Amino acid sequence: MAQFSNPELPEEINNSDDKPLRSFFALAGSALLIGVVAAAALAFFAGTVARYLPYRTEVGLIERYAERFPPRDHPVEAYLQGIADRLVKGKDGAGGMALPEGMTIRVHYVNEPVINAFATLGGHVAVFRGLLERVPDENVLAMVIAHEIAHAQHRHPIASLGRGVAFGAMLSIVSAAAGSSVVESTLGRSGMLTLLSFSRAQEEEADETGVAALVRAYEHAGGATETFKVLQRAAAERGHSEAPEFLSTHPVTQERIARLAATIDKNGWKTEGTRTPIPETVRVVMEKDAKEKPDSANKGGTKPQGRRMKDEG
Amino acid sequence: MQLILDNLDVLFFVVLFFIGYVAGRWNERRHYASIRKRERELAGVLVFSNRFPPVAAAQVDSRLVSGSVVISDDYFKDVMSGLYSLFGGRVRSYESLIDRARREAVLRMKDEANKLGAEMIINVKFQTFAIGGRNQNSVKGVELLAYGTSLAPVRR
Repeated sequence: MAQFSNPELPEEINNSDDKPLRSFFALAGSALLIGVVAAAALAFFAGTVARYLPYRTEVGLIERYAERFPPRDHPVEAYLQGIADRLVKGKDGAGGMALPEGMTIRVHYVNEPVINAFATLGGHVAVFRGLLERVPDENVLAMVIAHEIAHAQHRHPIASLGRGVAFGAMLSIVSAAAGSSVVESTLGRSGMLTLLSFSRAQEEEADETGVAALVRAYEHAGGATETFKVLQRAAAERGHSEAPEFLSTHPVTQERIARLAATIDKNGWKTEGTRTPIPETVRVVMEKDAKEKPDSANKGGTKPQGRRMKDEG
Repeated sequence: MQLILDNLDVLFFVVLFFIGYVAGRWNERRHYASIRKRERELAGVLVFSNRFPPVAAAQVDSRLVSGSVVISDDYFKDVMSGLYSLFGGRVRSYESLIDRARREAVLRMKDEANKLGAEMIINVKFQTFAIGGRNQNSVKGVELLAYGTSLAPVRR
């Protein structure tokens, strides 16, 4: 059998990877780079892109959460809704805020002592009892609501959501749990998408649109700059027992107040006028609500914890 | 501490990745050393894929011999294969796995033939089975079966 042989084959033919760790870093590095660039681009353009997302899609996103908060026959909620309608339509329907096609604003009253208000997807605005108790008159309250409606008008919630989801997607390349927790908290695990945060530019845009709507609805800008000062003062008086959530989500700076005053000045709006008081009936109902359990503490499973602001980090 | 708990999955990944790499490399290096050593020892048993024996070997004792081996994937290789599946190209991390399995199976077959006094194995065939890997947490491995007909000179 001397004419036959099995020659020794070179090793690298069938096993070519002599530096697996280097291959790993090359591949993982490029995958990470592609992911980061894609997510960063998405996050960067999320605000722009989100504005072109049909409003119907936005409503669809929040629909299953919104279903849990049907319109209630509650005097305070009706009162708040009235203010919102007045802001949107303007005084006596003279034209107020230019909402996107098909958008309706629905205000929710949340029976909790938290000083907060927020706007979320689908034109939903929530105002907390804590905030209502501390506003001196309707004009100050209207400024808060106008500001929140302005967020909805400019589609800030959907832009913020897009940015958050893009950021989560980027993170999930590195860590699945960290990424999904960001996506989850952005999408509002608790229901009402309460944690959408807006950029400073968005806050300023909402301030400007809000004060314009306030002037159109009340014929003067009284209460506009006061709103933030009032809330700041109210928070200071209460000490640190209750964190002024509104101030943490809406940081008050002197610059911001000055900017608002400048806008009023530039447009030649009246800085003061007749203030509208908050109806006594509303105050009475709120006092009664304050003695009851807050929304989040009762009604078993039917009320998700979404109306609370403090349950997530 | 909170940071560690929050990123527990990252930590798990790093640990598994490290274990996979170190243990996998160590095992592979040892296995290759053993394969090369035994390949030299069993070089006397020739392996052919021909279906019929060479004419020179007319008077032979033919037997079916086989060798099979199961070799497991490791975490590092798994991650690598995921990356290759993203970019395409040779799945280099699994090449060594298959290469080792094939050579080991042949060696076991040769060993059997050697014990039978055979000097060649003809009609050698290979079969590969993927073991596990259907769901995400199962162990991925490869079974390689080599079999053929050993030809031993007839003793008189």
